[in-house]
Amino acid sequence: MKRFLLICLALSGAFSAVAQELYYPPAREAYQADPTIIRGNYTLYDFDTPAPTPAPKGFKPFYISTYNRHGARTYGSSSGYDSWYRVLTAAAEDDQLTPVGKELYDTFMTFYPDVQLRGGDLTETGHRQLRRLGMRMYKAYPEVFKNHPVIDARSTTVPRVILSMAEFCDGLKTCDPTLDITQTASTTDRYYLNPHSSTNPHFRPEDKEFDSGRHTWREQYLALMNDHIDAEAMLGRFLKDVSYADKGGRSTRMDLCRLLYNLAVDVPCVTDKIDLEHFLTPDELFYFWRAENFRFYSVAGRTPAHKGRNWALEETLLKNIIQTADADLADGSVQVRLRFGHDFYLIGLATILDIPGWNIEESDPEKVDAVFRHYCSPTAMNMQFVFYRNDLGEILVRASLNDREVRFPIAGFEGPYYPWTSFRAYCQARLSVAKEILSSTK
Amino acid sequence: MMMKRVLVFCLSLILSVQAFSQADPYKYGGIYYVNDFTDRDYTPAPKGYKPFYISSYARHGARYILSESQYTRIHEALTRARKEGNLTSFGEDVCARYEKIYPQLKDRAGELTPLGKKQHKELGARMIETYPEVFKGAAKVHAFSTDVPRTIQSMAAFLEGLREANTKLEIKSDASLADKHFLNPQSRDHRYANEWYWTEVREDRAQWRQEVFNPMREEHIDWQSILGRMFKDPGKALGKVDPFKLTYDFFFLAMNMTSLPIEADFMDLFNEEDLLALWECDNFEYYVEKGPAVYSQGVSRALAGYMLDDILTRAEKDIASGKVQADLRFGHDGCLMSLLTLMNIGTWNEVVEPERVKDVWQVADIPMAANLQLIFYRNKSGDILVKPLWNEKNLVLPIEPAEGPYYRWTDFLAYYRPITEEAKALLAAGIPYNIIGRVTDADGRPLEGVGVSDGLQITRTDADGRYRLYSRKKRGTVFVILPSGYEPGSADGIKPDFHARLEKPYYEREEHNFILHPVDQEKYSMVFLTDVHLSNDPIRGDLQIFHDLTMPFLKAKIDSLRHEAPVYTVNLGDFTHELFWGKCNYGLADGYRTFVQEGYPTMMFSIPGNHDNDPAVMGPDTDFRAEHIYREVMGPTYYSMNIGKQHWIMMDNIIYVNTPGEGKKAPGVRGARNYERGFTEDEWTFLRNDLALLPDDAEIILCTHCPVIKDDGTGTYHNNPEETAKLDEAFARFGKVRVFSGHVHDIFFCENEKFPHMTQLMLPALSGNMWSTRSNPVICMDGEPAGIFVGRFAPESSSLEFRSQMYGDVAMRIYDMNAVRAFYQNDPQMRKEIEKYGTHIDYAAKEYTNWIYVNYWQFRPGETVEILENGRPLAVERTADEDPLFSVSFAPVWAGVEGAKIFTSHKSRSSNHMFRARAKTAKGKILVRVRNASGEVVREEMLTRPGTFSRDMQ
Repeated sequence: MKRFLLICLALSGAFSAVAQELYYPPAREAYQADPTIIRGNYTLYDFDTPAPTPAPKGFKPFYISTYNRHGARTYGSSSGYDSWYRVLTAAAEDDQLTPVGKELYDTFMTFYPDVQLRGGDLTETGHRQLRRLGMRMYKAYPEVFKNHPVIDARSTTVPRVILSMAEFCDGLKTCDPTLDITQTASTTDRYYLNPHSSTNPHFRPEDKEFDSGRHTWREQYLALMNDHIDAEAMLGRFLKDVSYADKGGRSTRMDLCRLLYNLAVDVPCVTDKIDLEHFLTPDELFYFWRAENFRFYSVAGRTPAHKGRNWALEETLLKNIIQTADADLADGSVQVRLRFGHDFYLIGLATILDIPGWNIEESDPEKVDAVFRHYCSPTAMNMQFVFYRNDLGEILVRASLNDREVRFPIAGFEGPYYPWTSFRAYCQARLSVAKEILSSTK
Repeated sequence: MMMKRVLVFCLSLILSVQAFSQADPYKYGGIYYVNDFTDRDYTPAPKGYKPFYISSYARHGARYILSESQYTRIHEALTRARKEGNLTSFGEDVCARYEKIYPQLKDRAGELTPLGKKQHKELGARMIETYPEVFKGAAKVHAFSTDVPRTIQSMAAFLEGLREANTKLEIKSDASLADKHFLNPQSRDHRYANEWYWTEVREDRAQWRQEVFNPMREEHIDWQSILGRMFKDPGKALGKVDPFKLTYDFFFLAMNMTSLPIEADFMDLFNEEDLLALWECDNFEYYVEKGPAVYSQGVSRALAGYMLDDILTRAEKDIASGKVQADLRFGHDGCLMSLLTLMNIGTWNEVVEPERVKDVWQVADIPMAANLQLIFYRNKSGDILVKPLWNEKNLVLPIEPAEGPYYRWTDFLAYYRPITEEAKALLAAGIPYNIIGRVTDADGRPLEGVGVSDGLQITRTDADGRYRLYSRKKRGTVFVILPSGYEPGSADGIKPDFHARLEKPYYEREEHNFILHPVDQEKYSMVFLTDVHLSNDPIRGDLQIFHDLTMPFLKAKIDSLRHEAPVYTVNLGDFTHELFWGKCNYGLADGYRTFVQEGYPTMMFSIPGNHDNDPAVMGPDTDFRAEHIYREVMGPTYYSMNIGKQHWIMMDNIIYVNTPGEGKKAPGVRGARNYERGFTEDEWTFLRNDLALLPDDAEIILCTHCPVIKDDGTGTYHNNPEETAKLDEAFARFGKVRVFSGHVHDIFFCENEKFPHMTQLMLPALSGNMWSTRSNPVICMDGEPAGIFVGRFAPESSSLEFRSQMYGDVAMRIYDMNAVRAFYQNDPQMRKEIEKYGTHIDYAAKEYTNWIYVNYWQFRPGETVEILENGRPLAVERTADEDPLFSVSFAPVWAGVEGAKIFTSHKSRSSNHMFRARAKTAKGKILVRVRNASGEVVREEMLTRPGTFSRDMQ
């Protein structure tokens, strides 16, 4: 909670370079203030949001365009759960668990049947989040929904995302069952819903290579863990014979430890009945988080490591938002555009839009935690652009990220309401920057 | 009563194929069919009953074509043909039509269409409208979908239909791999995924496809006509694409159009006949993959057991708790086919021959959004009835109904629970083993760990002596790899019963039990027979020689060995001779019968030679098919066995080719009888599996008909030297492998440094030169007397000895070439032969004066031969000059004999083990002395000169 206040404070201030560096409180302090920040992108969506700034007089919402991350999910791959299952059962069988290890075993086993073969699934919490977001949107913009708008929803073809879309739409329909919504999950929309896919015409093999980190940031990512965390000591707390760790089939013991961090911070997405975080020390949690934070920054953030290509690829998504708005405003055919996808592309969208907090370059891995926080990309993360109109036909746009207003460095306007023409011009300028990067780095 | 209902149902469900076309040609599209579901039943609830729970399974709604590659292949075929000028005017028209809509199709394969969404939304809306009692208030709905986008979207649309009628419903939806076993049990990635089903039923290499389905397509589908309407040269249009694949791409494109939000029509690509053919094959494929066809051995159907289990279990649980009012499942067409089959509905579970499948199975009955609904009703006393609906029409179950379309839930459970458990048990067993049996001793005591093979894979018996194999039965045999210390029984005393011929098709199970008898094999003897070549030829009188000379010799030798230890025989092939099968009415079975009638005294383990192949067989798979007589008479063509400490690997290294129309002609011979020397892929598979089971210290003996290595040149008799290198490599981890082979009719020990892991003995032919050397009736071509080798195997030392039929243990023959010269000068037959053919060395020549030739057939690598005249060593050289005794004994003696031509050859035969030296005088006493590699003298033989030379000399 506190951190968002800080963001808001920063947002309302001027955007000097100094202010940017102070954008986030030092990571250690942030962690001490809120130990849940280490959950990173598994952070549960905070529905306790500030009331929006009232619209200027005479302006009413009439068009909505969004991009929404899927809701809470289990850890991305089932094999992650299976690895720890194998380690713990093998050690238990041979009486190689320490007392703490036994406790971990007992805790893990109460939970394993609920997650086995469910890697990457939308959890019940995830379902509820999206449904709630749908209902919340309906209630926030009755002017849009009471006129029986045409609602067009698109999702990537990943099951948890399609289900998230369906839940969001069900939330809307629960409020008004007569709403007409078209839900589509098509590969043809992939080039902008997932700009890091080969369907994006700008996407090149070296971008794929970069995403994997093999020859670029992965070494630094591993160093962030290896330099601060003692995997042997951590495993030694659970296993009398640490070599049992190798039954997990992971490439390194550190990777098995990193996995436990990931499984632990994801637990609140699955259940509130157990806690795995306390099996890691505060330092371990903190440093794993920093490493993961760095990974997200490297793939989707303002990292200089890929000459900006990683976020410039978001050009297709931003362009889709602008172009569909142009078309929809021109012919009035669609009033609500809903997009559903993934955290990386939302981080990238915030980055390409140059939103404060997402726009600082940092090449030292040890310092990335000062300029980027991936807990700002929680489950069900979303960005909404709400369009307002007055009787004169003047159009304003208000953007929000996770239901908090966003201000852009658009000269002459404080926000959060910007004239559509000015905001559009701002976006076009950002698109030009991105295109320049993409063409000059080919 | 029940029969009649089933009949009525069949009539309503299964149309005659003719009726199809008249009703709706899109039904030929099978699972692509779109049904508008307007023909529905609603039977009022029986008095006092109200609906309270629903369980369903629905296929996703209308979709685009299944796979993107289908759109791409059509696009590429048409546009390439257009570029190459390979389109007919009709093809130009099709191309224009397709290319116009291609941008709307591209990247949409598999996607749910607007119609598909509408179908499911309406299904949901109708369900809540028809059964409002089930969905009142905050009723709980639990929905499960496979993890496929179109299915998840179908579920969402269905739930939207419910939601619109009741905003209070508590809906829980899910699309998880964790549930996939009951949503799509035929998929390959769920928790109980059945790998056997995939490899043996689904994949292209599945046997039924090769044997039944592919020929069916070839026979029914005239792809050249279909594609020929569009492409001037359909073959060229295909490029590398399979013709049936491209034809079906167009077929499904046409059939799929009714699902799409696109106005276009491709039905004019096909005529009625094409549609019928394409449909029938497509329909049949589903029958095997998802239905009761024998080829899946019940597995295709049983997979639906997970679905039925979930339906039953969840209903029982949710009815008992009252916590969930509807369990809705969303999945795929094939799952519904299997479910109807397992549920024994109508004719879905009928097993018929391929041509009749179309009468009992019609997959158009599983259109887009097809669905099974079970509506549960209850009265005040708690009695529960179930109304099953198929696409919203009453469905007749093979159970006595309570009333109309209503069945008692207790009856439903009583009928379907055992079916479910049976299906699950079948799947739990994993692989549907089709060859099973037991290996025991005569008292029924189990033998554990015994290898059993179908010629490819090897399994081992368990503690109860049981073995089980899933086999494609390609080799038609199952055999036991004899364990050391046991021998098989034998009905006639000769043929060992370690194998059985497979009798049933691969999709049926058969049982073969083997009984083995314990025997002390600490010591044993092995008689090596090869190239027996019995042929019942009156000209050579081979059977008489065999009876008078050979069999008594064999019996006497074996009798003497018997006193020491058990005796067995290996027969290394060419038991008879195929040129004489028809000519002398004496086949392989006759040769074998001669052995039985003559009372051959040991069990004989055989492998085939080139002359054991049926020379009438040509065409595909000639090698295997030409062995049919051999398999019938002798048994498997390759196998292995353990005797004493030795592991014997018996391999057929003749790959029969039999090129049509060439070569020697004789009755029953249709080809050139030619062959390659090597192992087939099947043999390699077996060999690798066999070796894998052996410890490093295994002592291996390899028996082949043709030799494997030779001591010069490429170093190998096999056509492919790399294969021999591969074999040598396979033997690398063991001690030196001893190879025994026949075929060349000569004795020759050899090694080659290229293949350091083998040492080889080529064995003398028992028949000499096919019983044809008359006065010295059994001489081999290399000059040595015909006979056998006997291996005596004992723990400490093993020995190998040669016994000739006529002269006992002889190692060499020393020729005084002055005597040979004289014979050559004076023998009219030999002179005529030399003058007529000019192929033989003329030993009458002066240059052979005073030469001593030593034919030393027991020569072993490393030995040196010394020739001394009156105690003084002569300069010895090794020569390839032919053996004079054989030369004078064979070709010349058949000159002018009618009918001899078929076996007579006038070729010169070079010698493998001939040594010579020129003596100083004509009378000096000759001593031949052989030293082994360590320099020790191992043999000494004398020749007093002048020597003698005649056709009947020893």
